[in-house]
This record gives sequence, structure tokens and C-alpha cells, in this order.
Amino acid sequence: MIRFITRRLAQALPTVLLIFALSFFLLKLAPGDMAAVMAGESGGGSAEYVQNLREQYGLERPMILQLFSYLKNVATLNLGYSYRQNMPVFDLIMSRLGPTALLMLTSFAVSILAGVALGIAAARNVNRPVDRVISVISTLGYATPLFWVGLMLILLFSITFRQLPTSGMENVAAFNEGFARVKDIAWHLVLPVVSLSLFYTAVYTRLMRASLLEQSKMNYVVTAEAKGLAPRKVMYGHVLRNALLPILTMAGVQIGSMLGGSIIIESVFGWPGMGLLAYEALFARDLNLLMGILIVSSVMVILINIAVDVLYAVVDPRIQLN
Amino acid sequence: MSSTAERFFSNRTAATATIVIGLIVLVALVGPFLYPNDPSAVVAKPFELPFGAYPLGTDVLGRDVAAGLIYGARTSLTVALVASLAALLAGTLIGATAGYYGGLLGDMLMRCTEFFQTIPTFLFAVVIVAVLTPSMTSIAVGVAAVSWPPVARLVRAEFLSMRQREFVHAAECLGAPDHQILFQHILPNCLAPIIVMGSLTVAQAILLESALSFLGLSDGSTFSWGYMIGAGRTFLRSEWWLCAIPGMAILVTVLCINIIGEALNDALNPLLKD
Amino acid sequence: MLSTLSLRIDRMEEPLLDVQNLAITLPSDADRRHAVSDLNFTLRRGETLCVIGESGSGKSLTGRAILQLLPKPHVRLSQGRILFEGTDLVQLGEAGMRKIRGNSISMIFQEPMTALNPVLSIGRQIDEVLIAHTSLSRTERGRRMREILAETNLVDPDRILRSYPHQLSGGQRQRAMIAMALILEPKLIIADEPTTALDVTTQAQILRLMKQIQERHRAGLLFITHDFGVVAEIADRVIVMERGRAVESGPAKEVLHAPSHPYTKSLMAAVPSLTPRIRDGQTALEPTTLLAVDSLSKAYLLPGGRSIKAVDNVSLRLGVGETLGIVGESGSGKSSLARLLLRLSEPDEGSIRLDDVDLLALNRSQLRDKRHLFQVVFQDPYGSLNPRWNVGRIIGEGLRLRKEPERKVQEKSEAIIELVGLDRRALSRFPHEFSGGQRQRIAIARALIMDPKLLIADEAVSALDVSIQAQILKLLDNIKRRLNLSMIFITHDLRVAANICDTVMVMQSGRVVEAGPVEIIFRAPQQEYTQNLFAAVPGRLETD
Repeated sequence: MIRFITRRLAQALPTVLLIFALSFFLLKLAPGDMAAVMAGESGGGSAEYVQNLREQYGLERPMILQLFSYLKNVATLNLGYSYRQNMPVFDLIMSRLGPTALLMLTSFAVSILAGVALGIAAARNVNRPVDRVISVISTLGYATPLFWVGLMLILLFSITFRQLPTSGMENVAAFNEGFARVKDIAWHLVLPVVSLSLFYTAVYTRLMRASLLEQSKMNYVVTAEAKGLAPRKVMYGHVLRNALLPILTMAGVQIGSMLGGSIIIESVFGWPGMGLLAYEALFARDLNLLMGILIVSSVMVILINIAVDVLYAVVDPRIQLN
Repeated sequence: MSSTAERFFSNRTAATATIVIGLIVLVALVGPFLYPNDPSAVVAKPFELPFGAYPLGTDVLGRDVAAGLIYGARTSLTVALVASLAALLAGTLIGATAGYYGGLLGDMLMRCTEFFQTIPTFLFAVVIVAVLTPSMTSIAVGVAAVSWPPVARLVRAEFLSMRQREFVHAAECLGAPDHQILFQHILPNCLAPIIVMGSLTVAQAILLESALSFLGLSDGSTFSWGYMIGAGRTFLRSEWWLCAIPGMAILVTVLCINIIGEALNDALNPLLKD
Repeated sequence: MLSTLSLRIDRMEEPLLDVQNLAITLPSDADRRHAVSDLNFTLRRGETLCVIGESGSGKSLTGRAILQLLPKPHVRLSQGRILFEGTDLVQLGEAGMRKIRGNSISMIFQEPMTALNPVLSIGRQIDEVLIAHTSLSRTERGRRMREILAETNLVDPDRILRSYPHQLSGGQRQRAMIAMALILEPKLIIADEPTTALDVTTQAQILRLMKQIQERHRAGLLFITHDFGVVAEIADRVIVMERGRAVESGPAKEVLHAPSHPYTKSLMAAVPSLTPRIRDGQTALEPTTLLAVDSLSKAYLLPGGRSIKAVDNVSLRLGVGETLGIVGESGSGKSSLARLLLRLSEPDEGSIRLDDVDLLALNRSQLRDKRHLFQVVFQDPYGSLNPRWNVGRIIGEGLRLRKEPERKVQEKSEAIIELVGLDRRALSRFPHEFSGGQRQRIAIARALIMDPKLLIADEAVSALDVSIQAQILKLLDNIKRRLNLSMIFITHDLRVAANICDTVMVMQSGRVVEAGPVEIIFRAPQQEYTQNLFAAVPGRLETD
């Protein structure tokens, strides 16, 4: 297991370097001098700092050498300085990582659990009213813009019914501590998580339903029935485990899309994570900060994907860990 | 092929969805010529209620919301279509090459595809648009850049499995050149899943475009549904319909395209089973 | 005391299974109303009853109907009684059936790879039966499982229990499946083509094992098969089914030696004999060599860095007008060899000369020019024709690629489609409108229209029912004579090889074990491997 994880981490290394390189080329692509772009376009940094950057990245030298110095800087966690926020980019991102991880992982778990549960309910009642209702809900969830759901939920639960907070991660003014604080954060978490998971719940619901129906036709199901197992045992002991495999694969593929989705949800709900930071960077045209966020979140996706792979190998004995 | 059409239209929901999409496309095409008001022109006092002098009221600056919706349809659909076509073309080419030829080239192409899938989709699109400076073109580029990897993966899987089929080997044994095998034998047999994927890509592209415009990543002169929601957001508490109406437009459009995609899947599939 | 004794004797004489007037209804869009109708049979304790029939005869559904496991919801039992020890299973209901399934009636399926759950260990899958039907303790269950696995001759039962299906060989999987079915000593075992997916030597072992165990436990065995050889090996009594009806039944000896119904007769006549046929008009003259293959090798890289020699130093000669059979079990390398000969994959070493042309020296376009000389017929009649092309386009493709004028393509297509025994109207129809045998004829036409000198048939009759198989073999033989065609016939079926080949090559793990004229190899095989292979062929009658 440990060896598998180390090997996967080693395999991920080139991908990480490629992401660094990609962000370098994107910075180059931006109109204007790269040092000026990095310093923040609208005169965030002093002329001295820009000159300093120029030397640090060797911008007078050939492209390939520039790339190397950029890679070296990024690899040593030097992502530059954000004049807008008056903080090194890396520290800035790290301070926002927690809230984003909380939002992401909660939504990830909620969407998979809800999707699997709804998928089972639909498949067990195939072509009956329950299935139809679930199908309508998931079709709608699949077609609704995330940010609009967020706005409509705010309209409904915060403005009309005054039940849930509109924005932020906690009520800072209340100075909550201990369990009261956890409860407060959980309360703030409800609407963002619902908005972010709606689409992905729909994805997993449909996939789970299709996967269960496909697996139910397999020969091993007849074998299980021929052993005298009750339908529940056939379903939960045999079919479900096989049907979950595509869900895991899909979860690995969707994680990047979900992290992307959290940007827009964070900016709708004022959730103080990397997404909101990206939104702020966007308006300040702080491209260097934006690149830093792109790099850190891509690395996050890679790490979560490795975790998903380990999980997959645990569930499916056909995948060998070594 | 006629039986495919029959199967498709015998599905009532799909037929309705097709009609609705047809109407939306019609509005996007001819609406701007028929509707009198310009979306960016100030025509009345702000916040006129819907169903008054203006069918959908006016916004914060007193601009006609209905006009915005009509011009927005044009923007959203154009960007989504262009981006999806580019993504489909790139994805199909890359996936087909990787699936048919395999080997080192195929491996490299797939590594590349997986690489682009690890970058958080929406964030990548945001960065591209920001770097290229926001405009309809850069939004289309951004949407296309994040939409092709799923297509490439699907096409590769399809080509890979078709490549093992005996009729493909038989064609090779007859001396058929690669282009004949790829385009006459394999592609027609993979068309159904690609078409279905295409419709889903368009739907996702509309969602992506609206999200980008919602964040303010547009040049401001072109109206789009996402932009309207973003602009109305501040007044959610009092003038909620400024957000609700364009949102409904997006929902209905994407919903109909998805329904069509699914019905196509059902209608095209029986042909593949013998 | 006396009355219970007499009751017991009564029960002994009553049949274990008594199926009366069984009818199974198919969904409304099927090609016929009933999968099975008016079916009556009985099965006594300790008896083996074979139900034999071709695909679509309703034999498998009959087996599943007994356990009330017909595919839901479209296929249903519409009429009849199924008395098991006097209880009508049709009236028993789900809860009652669950107590019987796996306990007093158990089932063994055809494909052990798909019949076992891929993500659960063998131990867990067998244990389920014990948990469902007994209240044994964990250690007791473990002991029982090891016992039954040992009884099925599986070495190292502990390892097997821990293994997952993909880690076992086909034979081991089927033994585990049998262990699972037998662990509660059922009174009735239903076996649905349990050896069809296995190699012939494994098949012989499994058949022997099933017979032994059945005799030891005095269970009734209902054995469903399409193979008369297997029937000859195992059956006490036989029922022959055709399109859902029993056309003949009786003791195995009688039915096999003196079939009375014409369908049975035709079915048995279609089974190729193991004795090589006497070839008429065979000249003593050595024919000129068409194909010369020398020390051909191909290794494949396995995941994990190891490599396997799929084809290992194979040489062969094929004369004009000759038919060479390449026989072997799965994994013998015969299909890899076919791919090399067809130039669908690159060999690592060796040479292939066809008609004095070095096929390995050609570049891609030169090779395309020569491809018409060697054509192929594949195994799967459903996968070998492009489903989106009509037959005319499929057959004409090769000539059109060679830029033949359209009029000639038409003429030749019409001639060739009639040569393979189809109507010329077939040219405008699509593959899905044809049966498996007809599709195979189309595939043959596609190959023959190129005027090849060599025809390679890769398991070309393996997927066909025995009566269709006989027709296709006859067609190939006729065409071969008429066109003086050379043929390489790759097959796992020794009977087929005996029927059509002049020379035979036996392969094992990529190597040639033995090669020579068919009469010599089949009558007096020299190598031990070949001898075992022949001994394992089921149903070797006195005539064989």
C-alpha cells in the first residue's frame, strides 16, 4: 500500500511540473511584459520590484532558461508576491485552503452519498413513480447553473424564510468557540454545499442507476439467486459493490470540475476560500495570484485522485496495488 | 435512418424539447431584427415590473430585459456551439488517433488528455479568459479548452474497442488503407456515442459560458444570460426576477438539449445492436 | 413403524423431479410465442438426464424454470407443474423457493468467469450458501468448505478460498463453482453447459468429477448441453429438444445408437467423426509449396514487465490445394500464429513466403497490393461484418479497393454470393437480417471474391450450431476443391480438424508439438500431449 502510494506520487511528479510549465506559458501569453504582469497590472508593485522580478526570472535570457528559473521558483514554493493583498502568494493561498477543502470535501461526500442512495432507489423501482420522480429531479439538477441555484437558494432560505445565513463561513462577530463555532460553520455550510452538490448528485444518481441496472443483468446475479439468497442480500452483497466501481472512476474524473465549481459557489456565498480569492484576483487582474491558485488546486486534484485510486484498488481486487 | 427519426420523435418529451430548442434558435437568429429595442439602450426608468410596458421589465439602468434575453440567446448559443464544435473536432481527432494507433503516440496523447483533466475545469477556463483579456472569442477558447478531454477519452475508448472487432481486421486483410478503415468502417459505428456526447458538450458549454459571464468575464458590450444574472445579483433582495428570468432561460435551454441528447442515445442505440 | 417404512419406500420410488406439461412464454416481440411447450420428463435419484438441443431450443430456460429463476419480467412460466419430491415448485412461492435454491437443488453455470462475482473471494461466495441455509459456526463452515474443495480435487483449498475469480484458471473456477453447488449435498443438480467454456482436457476432468460426485451423493443430475460427445460420456437418459419441444427421449444408449426422430438423426449426422475421412482423388504427387513459414516467433509483454512467447519458433509448409489444420487449446498460440500469417501483427523473428514472395520484406503499400492473395474468415459471425454496410458493399469492398470497374464488381459479387449458397437479393440487405450461418457465408464470399490462393479460417465454425457447422464445413470443402484453394484451418475442435484437414499441426504454449498427415496424427499420435488431447475428446464412439 505504502509502496503503491509512493509510486503514484512519483508518477504524479511530471504532471505537476507540466502544470508549472503551463502556468508559465499562460503568463507569457498575457499581453505585456511578464514581470509587469506578475507584479499586478495596475501598478501594484513598484518599478524597483518589477526590475527585481525581471532579474529573478532572467527575462532577458532565452525562453527555456526563463522557464527553468520559473520552475525552480515554483518548486521551492516561491509563487511571488501579491501587492494587492500585501502577502506572498503561497501564504495567501494556504490561508484560504482550509475553507475550500471543507466546502469541497463536504460537497464531494454529500453528492456521492446522495447520488448512490437516489440511484439505488431509482433502480429498485425502475419505471415506477419513484424512479420517474428521481429522474426528473436529476435531469433538472443536470441542467441548472450552479451559481443560479445558489442565488435562488439564498432568495428562498435566507431572504424569504430568513432561516439560513446568506454569506460567509461563520458569524465572526459572535466570537463563537468550541462546539458553538462548529455548529455555526455547519449552518453556514448548508447552502453552499447544497448548491455545489446538486449537479454532481445528478451525475452520480444517473450513473448509479444505469450501473445497477447493468450489473443486475450479469450472470453472477443468477448464481447468487440460485444459492437461495434473499433479494436484499443479492443487491447489497453482490450487485452494489460492482455497481460502485464506475462511481469511483467518475468521482476521480469529476473532482477537478468540482474544485472549479467551488470558485463560483464561493464567490456567490462569500465563502472565504481559494475560489473567492480567485474572484478577487480576477478583478484586480492579479494574474500571478490566479496562476498560484491554479497550481495549488491542480496539485490538490492530483492528490485526491491518488486517494480515489487507492480506494478503487481496495474495492476491486482485480486492480493490483503493486 | 428514418427509423431512427421515428424512434426519436415517438418520444413525446424529446419532440417537445426539439420544438422548444427550435424556437430558442429562431429567437437567437431573427429576434434581434424583429425586436425594436437595443439591449444596452436605456429605454425607461429602472426596475419597471415585468408584464408592464416592457414584457420582462427593465433593469437597474432602465434597459429592456426582454431585449437582453433575446441578444443573450444569440451570444450564449454562438459561443457554446463554436466552442463545442472545436472541442468535438479536437477530441475526436485526438481520441481516434490514440485509440486506433495506440502505442507510444497513443500513450502520449492520453497522458496529455488526462493532464488537462486534472486542472480544475472552470478555474482553467477563467485563467484562459483572463489571460487573453475577456471577449466572446476568449470565452469560446476557454470553454473549448476545457471541453475536449472527455470527448477524447470517449472516442479513444470507442475506437479502441472497434479496432479489436473482426470486421476491422477483415478490412485490413482486404488491403484497405488506414483512412478507409478509420472513416468508413470505424467512425460510422462510433457516431452514435459521439453525437450524444456532442449534445452534452453543447449543454455544458452553455453552463460554462454563463458562469464565466456571471463572474463578469465578458467585454460588457455583448449581452449574455450569465452577465444579466451577474448584473442583477446585487438586487436579489428586492428585484429578484432580474436574476430569475435569465436563469430560467439557461435552465430551459440546457434541459432541452440534454433531453434531446438522451433521446438520441435511445434512438441511435438499437442500430448498433444486431 | 411399518407404515413409516413403507412410506419411505414409496418416496424412494417416486421420481425426484417430475415435470408435467411445462410451457414457458416468451415476450411478445420474440420470434415465437413459447420458448418451451408441452414438456414432460422425470428424473430419479442417482440418475443423469441430458437435455440436448441447439441454441434456441429452450433447454437452458427449462433448467432455470425449475429453480423459478426465469429472466424477469418478460419470460414466464405459463403452464405446467414442476414436482420436486412431490412438491409443486410452481406453487411454492418466493420464500419457499429460497429455502430450496442452493440447498436441495443447486445449479452450475456455463461461464464460471461471469457466473462468479468478480469482486468477492471464492471463500466468501461459497460461505454465503452455508450462511443462508445453515446455522453452522464459523470454524465449522471453514472446515466444510475445505472438505468440499478437496473433494473437487482442488489443491491448496486455503489458497483457493482466499482467491478471487480472476486469479484462478478456467478449470479451477469451474471446480470452485461445483464445490459451491455441492456443499449442502443437494438432491438435484442442474448443470447448464458446465464444460462448454473449457478446454477439452479440462472438460474431460470436470465431466469425470461431476459423475463421481453425483454417484457418491446419489444426486439427480440434469445436464443441459449441445454436445453429443458429452451426452455419450455422462448420460443415463436423454431428451432431445427442438424449438421448445421434446422430439425424442429415452435411454442414452438407445438414442445415441438408434435415433428414431429425423431431427435427432440429422443432428447426430452433423457431428463430425474423429476418424479422418478417406480423401478421394488424392494424388501421391507432392504438391508445389504455396506457403513456407520458417522459425516464426512473437513475444508479448505482459503487465508487470514479464513477456510471454505466444508463438515460438514455428515453421510450416503448405502445398497448393492442401488444407492444414492448426489445433490446440486456449493459450496454445494458434490465434497469435493466425494474426502473424495474416500480417495483422509483426513477428519478432522468422520469415513468411507466400508464392515465393517474402511477405515480411514488403512495405505497407506493397503489402496492401498482395493482401488479396491470402484471405480470412473469422470466428464471430456477428462481429466480422460491418453492421452499417449492406452485403453488396461488404463483399465488393476488396475489389473496389483494387479499383476494379463497377460492372465487374457487380457481376462477380452476384456470382460469388450464389457460390456460397445465398440469393443475389442478399446483396442489398444488411448483416443483421441474416442468421449466424448465413453471415458466415457472407464472410466467406468476401474472402473468395478476391481470388485468394490461401484462405485462413480462424475458428470459422466454432460459434455455430452443429447442423450449421456441418453445412459450412461442406461448403468450404466444395469450394476448396473447385478452386484448388489452399487452406489453413485453425480450430480447437479435433473433430472439425479430422473432417476437413489433410495435414495437422498440434500446438501447445506457442510451440509445435507434433505435425504430419491427418491420418497418422489422429491414428497414432507420438507425443504424450497429443495422446492426452485425443483421449479427452468426449464421446469417442467405437467407430472413432
